[in-house]
Amino acid sequence: MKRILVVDDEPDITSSLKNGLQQKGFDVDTYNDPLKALEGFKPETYDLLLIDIRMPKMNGFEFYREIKKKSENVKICFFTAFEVYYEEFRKVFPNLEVKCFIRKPITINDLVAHINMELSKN
Amino acid sequence: MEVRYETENMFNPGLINKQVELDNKIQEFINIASHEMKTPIQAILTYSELLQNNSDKSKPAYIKAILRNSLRLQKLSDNLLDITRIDSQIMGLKKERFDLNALISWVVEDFRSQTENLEYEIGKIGIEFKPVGQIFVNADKCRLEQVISNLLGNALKFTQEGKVSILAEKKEDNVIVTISDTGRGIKPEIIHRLFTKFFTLSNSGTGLGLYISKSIIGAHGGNMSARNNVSGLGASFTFEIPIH
Repeated sequence: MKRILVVDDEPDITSSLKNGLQQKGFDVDTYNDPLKALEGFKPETYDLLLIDIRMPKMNGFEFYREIKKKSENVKICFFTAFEVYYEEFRKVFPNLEVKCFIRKPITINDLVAHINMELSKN
Repeated sequence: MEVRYETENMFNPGLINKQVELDNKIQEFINIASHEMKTPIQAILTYSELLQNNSDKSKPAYIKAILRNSLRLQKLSDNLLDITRIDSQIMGLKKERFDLNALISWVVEDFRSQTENLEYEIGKIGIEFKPVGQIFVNADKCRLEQVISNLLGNALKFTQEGKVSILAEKKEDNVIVTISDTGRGIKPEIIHRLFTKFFTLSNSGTGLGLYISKSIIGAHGGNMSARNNVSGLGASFTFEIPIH
């Protein structure tokens, strides 16, 4: 069973995604506080991280940077309602390739398709 | 004449800079408003999909979540309409005579009853309101309820511990309402921007609430202000309107 970590400050988003992804056969952990997610993160635990961008305390890009320090190879998808994510990402990480952006709102089936596509990449 | 006016504008760096600044603000607002719309839509969409699974025992919770997020969308669309009304100067008031203390008590009770509202963590923050008698005002009840809800909601959002206090007092022909919190206070450099359109410190907000609230109080012939508390802990928002 693939393990997914969802970090989003909206409890309704994490709660509904957890249920939805569990029904599709994933093992899901969630956090609403990115700092607590970072504190509790253990490398090699998750197959993929689904991260919101606009969060209090620490935004998704900062979270991405900190997680990459702990686990360079972990797969991360940004899950965002923001329209300007690509340009913003470029400003913060000019030398990094954008790996995976998934735009809200999205159906569970489409989300699962994105996740599976990302998981299938080497 | 019109052509000359445009030509003058084109070569006036000050005006061009102002236009660029306005365009950037509008772009930023569209991004934030779009974000604020898509977040509840995502929740509604996923909970609706979950409802399709007949075997799921959490259906009542999903329906509550759909309702909660629908109301959030309704509030956002109301705010956007209010902005249009304010900017077009067509915000009309439906004045009636009512007891302001009773209205504040009702709003406070409404907030207290929202125990499931995780955003404010109401259970941890106390709301103190001890009305003394009645204070009758001639004002738009629904609009004042909107202002009090906005100020109370903001105070709770930015207070991690302690309490939020509300005080309403009559002073000659005016009524003064103060909502104080024990939160982190307001940075001096941003106090003058608090009531401007699109200004937000929150990661979940469009920056319209205080602008709309101040406009409502202005339409009543009153004024609204904010300051940090003398104690050094938290901030206070005050509005004053004529009783008649």
